Amino acid sequence: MSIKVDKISEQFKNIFRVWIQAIRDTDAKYKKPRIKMTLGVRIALISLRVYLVILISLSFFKLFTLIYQGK
Amino acid sequence: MGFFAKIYYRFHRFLRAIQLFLMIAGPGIIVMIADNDAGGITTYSVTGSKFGYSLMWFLVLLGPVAYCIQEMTVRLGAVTKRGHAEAIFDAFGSFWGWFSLLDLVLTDWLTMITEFIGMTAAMSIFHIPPIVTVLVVWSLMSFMVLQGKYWTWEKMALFFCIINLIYVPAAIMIHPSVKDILYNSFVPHLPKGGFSQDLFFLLMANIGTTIAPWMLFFQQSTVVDKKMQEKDIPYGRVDTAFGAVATVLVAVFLIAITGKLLYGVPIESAAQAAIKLMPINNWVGTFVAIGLFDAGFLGAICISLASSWAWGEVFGWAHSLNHKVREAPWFYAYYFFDLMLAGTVVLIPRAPLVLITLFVQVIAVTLLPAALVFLILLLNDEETMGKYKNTLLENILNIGIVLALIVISTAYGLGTLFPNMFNWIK
Repeated sequence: MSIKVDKISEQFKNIFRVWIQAIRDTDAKYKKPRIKMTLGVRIALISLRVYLVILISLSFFKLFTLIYQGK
Repeated sequence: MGFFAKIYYRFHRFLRAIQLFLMIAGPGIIVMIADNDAGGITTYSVTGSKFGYSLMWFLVLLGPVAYCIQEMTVRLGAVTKRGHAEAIFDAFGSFWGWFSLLDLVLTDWLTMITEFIGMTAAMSIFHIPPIVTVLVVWSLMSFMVLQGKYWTWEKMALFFCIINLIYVPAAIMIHPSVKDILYNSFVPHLPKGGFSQDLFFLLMANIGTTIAPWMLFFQQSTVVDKKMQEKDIPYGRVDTAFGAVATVLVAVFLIAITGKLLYGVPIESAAQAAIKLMPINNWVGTFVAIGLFDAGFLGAICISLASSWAWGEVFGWAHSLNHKVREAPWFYAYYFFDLMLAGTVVLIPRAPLVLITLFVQVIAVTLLPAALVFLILLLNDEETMGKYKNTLLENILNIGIVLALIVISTAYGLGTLFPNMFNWIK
């Protein structure tokens, strides 16, 4: 019984390792953006970062408010 | 003789073009009709019951908007032979790539839950318990992808697209005034009572259902899976235009039904609309319920595939419906995992389904602007797109649409988070 459990947990570990490696490989493969960083592209990407930071902050604010109010 | 030969030659070319179109048509029609998913059907039902026919023109206006955005994904897919997720990773690097992929996966999963909510609600009208609905949907969706051919999947999806047009005969059965429909569809005007907070939210909700992030990823991936080439782009455009017309038709005819029979009746969902329609006209109520199930089903089959394709593209797994399960195990594993997880959530007693529906909007708002900005930037990358990059006119039009969509969808997302935010509107 314990041998079977060990085998299953080893298989899960292997799958987990494969996934971590796949994520690392993908990260390395696409590390450098290929698109030419013209002024327009830079402005668009910076605006997008600012937009997302504000929106995500507001979402967290709402979540904490709901938790604080006990809803 | 020369004259007849010319006519024969032209007729032959015309027939060949139609044959080619029928072979290429699919992705545009499917994505556009699937856009009228369970959430969309609910929004149209509520629009009709609250404002009658007076907002039909707004939905007619949204057809070309959806076409302009989706047409760009056809060009991008046919030229780069890459899905949207992979294109973002490649062009903008891993930070934006991971952000888009994870946001897409989360949005898709939450939207899938709303599709299951719609399907179970529709089938509950026919006294079918949610567990049976979920099991039947799982089986049907599994059967569709396990054929090992994109072509077969596409034809089955097109069959469900035809069922989505059930609102057309349903509307014809109640004999709406054609003159009123034409006037309200083509003459922009505000409903009685003028501009109000209710109207503002419904306009934003209608825009929100017109363009969803998964649509960009889905159509580009289907174009790639179908192996469309640059020369097929004109056919892809016609396919997308047909889809845009069909999606507007469904919206207008559904509003014609609820606008005529439920005007002034408070309803909150399409399932509720179907229940309230049944005592008035049993067939129409039944058709609306069937249409709601079909809308949820179409949404679910497209959304789950959009996520599976995206994972496959990014990790380099085999990711085509032309592959058998053993050839693309991860692609199908993710598809089934997504499907099971979304269906299971609906079956959990007292699951926070309302909260999930609310979060779908908010999370989609974080992804939509990013996906649209990336789309515009990619379509302007001369190195990749060559002669298929956006022209000046296309840029003016598309950037205008994208900016408007970003502002309105953000307002909608914020309005969902902070309902009192727009109290300054009467």
